[in-house]
Amino acid sequence: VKRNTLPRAESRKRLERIFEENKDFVWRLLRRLGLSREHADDMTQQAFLIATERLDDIKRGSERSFLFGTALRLARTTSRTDRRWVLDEDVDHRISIAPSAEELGDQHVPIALLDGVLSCMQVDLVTVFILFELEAMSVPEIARLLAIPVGTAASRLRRAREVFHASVSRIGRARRGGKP
Amino acid sequence: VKDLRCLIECDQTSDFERWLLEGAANEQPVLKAVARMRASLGLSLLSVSRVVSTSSWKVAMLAVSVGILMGLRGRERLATDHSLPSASATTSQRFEAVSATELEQAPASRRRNQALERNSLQSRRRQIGSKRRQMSESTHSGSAARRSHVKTLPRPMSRPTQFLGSLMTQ
Repeated sequence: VKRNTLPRAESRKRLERIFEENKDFVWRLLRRLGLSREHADDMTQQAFLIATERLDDIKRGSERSFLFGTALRLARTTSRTDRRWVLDEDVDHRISIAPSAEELGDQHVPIALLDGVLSCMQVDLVTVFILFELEAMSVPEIARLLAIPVGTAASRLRRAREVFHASVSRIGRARRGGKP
Repeated sequence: VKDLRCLIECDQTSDFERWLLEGAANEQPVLKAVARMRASLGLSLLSVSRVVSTSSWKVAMLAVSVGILMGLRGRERLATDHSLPSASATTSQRFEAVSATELEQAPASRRRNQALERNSLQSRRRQIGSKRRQMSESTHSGSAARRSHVKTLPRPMSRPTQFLGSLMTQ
């Protein structure tokens, strides 16, 4: 009996640790990829359920990488109608509609604005950008997580920053009433 | 208000960028959602106590314990209502007996039996109520003859021993 219960207890402990260390990370990632709070809750749960099923296959130390990949796939397969980001060029229009009255009431203005900005960026750039800026990961860590060369990660980050800066400048101009 | 003030007042683009990023970096799932996730993964909810404040945790524990106590009392009452193997049976034996009968019965038949019991109880209550009304009407009429008649009216026999006693006297 002991031989059977010991690995189970160990895997439970491991799952507990993985969940505590990564739940906010996965949830925030899904949110920044355009999912609503409710969908982010559901998809985070889904990601951890998948991780639970494949716990024995996940290498020790690469749990976050597994969850990251799973969350990305889940975000991509989520229905487009439920997602708030669309890859279009109409930045100002998207930003103007981003914060709803409900979100303004909940004091989620910066989040809604940021989501509006991120919705105009390519997914690859958004991913690197949020990992660097929001999750405070280094470029080599990002490269490891995404399984890409460090140079590619750095290049994506640079491009993402340029796009982000341009979008924020546009919002700034809009705030100042169209003045440069 | 603070957020909106920054939206209006942040003149520097870098400040504005930082303000946007800080808001998103601190966003977290709500506790209810985390608890649901934990439950779905089969993880202990006790770990939630680390993030939940002590007072709310105590209130939750109190509510759970009161709920358990109420449930036990309800089940005990149910057990006493049913015909049990012996009156001297312990509480745990009673619970076992009740749960065994509950398990034996299908849900539909159990519901039917409960409905029948309820109907019979209601009809009996109605009968007793009507008799009481009759008795009160006759006593408030003021006629002595009627009062004497009322006194002779047979009372409803609630127990079999009373019924047997009445037979013996006759």
